[in-house]
Amino acid sequence: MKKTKRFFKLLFRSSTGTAGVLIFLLVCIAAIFAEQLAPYDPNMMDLMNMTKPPAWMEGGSISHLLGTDNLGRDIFSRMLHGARVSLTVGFLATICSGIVGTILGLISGYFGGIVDHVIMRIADAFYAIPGILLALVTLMVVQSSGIGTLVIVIAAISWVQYARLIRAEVLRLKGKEFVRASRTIGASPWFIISHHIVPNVWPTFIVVSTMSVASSILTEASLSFLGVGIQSPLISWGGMLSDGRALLATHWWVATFPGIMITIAILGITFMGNWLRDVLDPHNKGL
Amino acid sequence: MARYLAKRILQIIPVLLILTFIIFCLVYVAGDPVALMLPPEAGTEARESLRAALGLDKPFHEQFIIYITNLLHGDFGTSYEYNQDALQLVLERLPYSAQLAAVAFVASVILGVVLGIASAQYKDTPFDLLVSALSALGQAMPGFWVAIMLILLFSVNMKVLPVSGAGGFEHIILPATTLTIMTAAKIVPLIRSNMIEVMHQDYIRTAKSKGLKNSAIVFKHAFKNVLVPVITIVAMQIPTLMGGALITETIFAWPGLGMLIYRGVANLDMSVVQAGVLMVAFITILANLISDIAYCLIDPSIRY
Amino acid sequence: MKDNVLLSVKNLSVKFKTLDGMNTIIEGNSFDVKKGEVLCMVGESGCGKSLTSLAIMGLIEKPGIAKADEIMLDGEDISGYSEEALRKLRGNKMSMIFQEPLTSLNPLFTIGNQMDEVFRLHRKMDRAECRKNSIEMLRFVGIPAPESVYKRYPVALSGGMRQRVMIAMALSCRPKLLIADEPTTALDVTIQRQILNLMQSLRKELDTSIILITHDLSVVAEMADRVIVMYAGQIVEQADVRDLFKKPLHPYTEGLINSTIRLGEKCERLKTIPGTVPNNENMPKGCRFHPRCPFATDRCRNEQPQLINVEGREVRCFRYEGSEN
Repeated sequence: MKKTKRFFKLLFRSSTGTAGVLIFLLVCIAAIFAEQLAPYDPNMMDLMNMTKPPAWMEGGSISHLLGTDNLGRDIFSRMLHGARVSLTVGFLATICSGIVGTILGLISGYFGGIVDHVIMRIADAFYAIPGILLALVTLMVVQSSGIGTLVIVIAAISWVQYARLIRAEVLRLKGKEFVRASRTIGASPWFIISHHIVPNVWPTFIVVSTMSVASSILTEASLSFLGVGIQSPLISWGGMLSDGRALLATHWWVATFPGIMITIAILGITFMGNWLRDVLDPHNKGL
Repeated sequence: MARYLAKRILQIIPVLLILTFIIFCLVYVAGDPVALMLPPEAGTEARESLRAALGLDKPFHEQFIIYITNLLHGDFGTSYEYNQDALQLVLERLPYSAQLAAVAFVASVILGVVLGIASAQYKDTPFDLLVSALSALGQAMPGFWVAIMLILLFSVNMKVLPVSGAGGFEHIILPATTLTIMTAAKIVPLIRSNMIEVMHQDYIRTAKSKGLKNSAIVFKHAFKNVLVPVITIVAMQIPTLMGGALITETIFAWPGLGMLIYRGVANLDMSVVQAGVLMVAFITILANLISDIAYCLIDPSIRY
Repeated sequence: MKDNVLLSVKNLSVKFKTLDGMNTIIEGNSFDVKKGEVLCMVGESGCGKSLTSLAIMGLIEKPGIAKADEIMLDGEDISGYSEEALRKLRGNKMSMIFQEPLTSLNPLFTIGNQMDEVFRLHRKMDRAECRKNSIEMLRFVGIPAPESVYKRYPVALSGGMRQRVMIAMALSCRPKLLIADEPTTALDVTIQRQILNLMQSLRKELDTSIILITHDLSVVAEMADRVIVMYAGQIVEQADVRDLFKKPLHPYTEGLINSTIRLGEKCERLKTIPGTVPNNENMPKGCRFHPRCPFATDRCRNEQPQLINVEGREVRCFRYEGSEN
């Protein structure tokens, strides 16, 4: 109870932190309750209401708040459903890359030597190819679309971030007195990792994970925009933007709103991550 | 210093090897190019002989060795779409990408350094908050959306800049702006926080106790120290810049490497794809090496 | 103001702005530094010694605010000076050396480059003159092969050498006042001795007054003419060094002296002062030392003692009321 109270006190002290958490919660609600919240079936075509402008513009109506696209589909409903896909991909990719990257980072940092060299050179190789490029080529080559493939591909390009940061953190901790002391009294590597390293790496892990959710969502959107990510009938913000691009000259709103949605979501998650970084920093007096 | 650099250069060899392996795997999985290379009416016999000529009937590891040997001889394969040597094709497109990346790079470094240092100096003022907000926004906006919004604003509505293609100076403005927004937004907060950290160092206090002017403290004592992390930060943005260039180039139909690779991927023209990806990776590695050398030149403690 | 006083500080306080309001670290301290003397400031870490010296230099940074009724330095009141005016005094009329010689020099510039700055700034010398004078100063503080050190980067020098460079830099413009903030704490014992001896001899040669901040009483015994003892942001005792060691008045001073080892004395167990320094957020009511004081009375717990004059020295303790002169 006291901890919850303290959490909220810390949260409300930072205005960007509060905004970040609020935005994140809203996006989560949109994703979970998309079916209940959306006024229309997101894939329902309505030839009577094609390319209707948003409600506040001339020709727009309140029944289609953010207008419709060239097939008469309601943009607001599609955006709510898009949140579901974006968050799913973002979270799953983060979990996958988090597990792989953290384990590799822990091993690399703690054991050092040849293992460290091998892992870090592989990380260097992955780092040298821009993630979006590697993902694009891989997705084209495997000729398989669907959330599962997309998640694995995004995880494959984002584990490097985890591995490098966790490794650096482990190296820092390894030099600390409490780890040395533990080793001098004969603790096993497993014990030291689980009792001394992991609890101290935890804050870094949380912060990297938050940022990774944001970057995974961005990557998913970019890939869907390029046409190799989420495929119809699933809806993604990036795909919506890609649809709207052709209509840019005449119907600007089709491409604009999904972009704003992505920006707000990423901004919220980033703010939340920055706040977590400040709060979880042990040098910070907050906790 | 020589030893340190030698070590760094030696480290590149396994990295390049792993890289080629990753790319080879992708090419291998992409499957048989024969189907794409021969007309559909070609007989089984013709296909088999072409497969044998290309070494595609050999086992995986042998194919990899052949692949590496070919690469070392400068043979990156032939593009079936353009009917041209893949490496040559890449080298032809490279200047366009380099031009775009260079403009965006210089602009974002200048913007990043100026805004980063200024907002560190005026920490917690409205100016600092504005810069922080803008860079957060710049990081959150997807690059392709920025590109589209720029087109909407400057090409569709104001009709002042061309939508796509390469040509005069006006063609480079929009793609370069897109890339600059993406890159500068990442650089600014990093330089700001590094500058704040440097300004708390003991030697800055010494400089103040000597009676130095604030400008001398910032531009001489702090700047050179902040340059060390700045080089790392800037070098770290090279993959972002390259990746961003891929999307930006496709949107603006800028005939660079990114566009070439994208078309290659779409047509499963794997020779072009692998040559392009290898080139991008090579540039990234080179950029990191250069940043390490610059690092050595600035920091005397590495030299000792 | 008396002729032989170089620096006279009246009612100096330093406050910090925090989330919960103003936090006063140093409260209403007044003291003088005479020409050519070494004044030592002692006290546990966090008692405000360093902040006092930074306040004199005008180097208190936000969110800190320094205020004083008067800071007379060599006949001019610098307490209301603008940053620009203070800047012209720093490194010129008053200069400062710090505790951490290893990090106090900019690692990316040569020793010569950093030494030259002072001459160029305050003496408007050209490059060749700067170089000549810098090398002269390096020689003056006993650095061997000054021409070669001039071209080196700080990383090539040991801690003791770097502190010598710092001293050379601080003394370049023959300052009237040198503030040394724990100049030997980070150094080896043998190097400490060398640096202290150097400061002693330079003081005689240049007739510079020194404020030496330290927590090491052996340094005080060796260097000081007069001593100020600080506790929790306040001056608690001020006396000549002989008097202080012979007969400490304030219980805190007594505790400090008793907690050091003296040779030739049989001592079973080193005495310590019980308790810890109070932190700024919950200063005890009354005398700030009372929770740790063996002589504390109800009055000490409720009322703050003032500095009173006793036998030509000052002490902040009720026990000496009535014996003031």
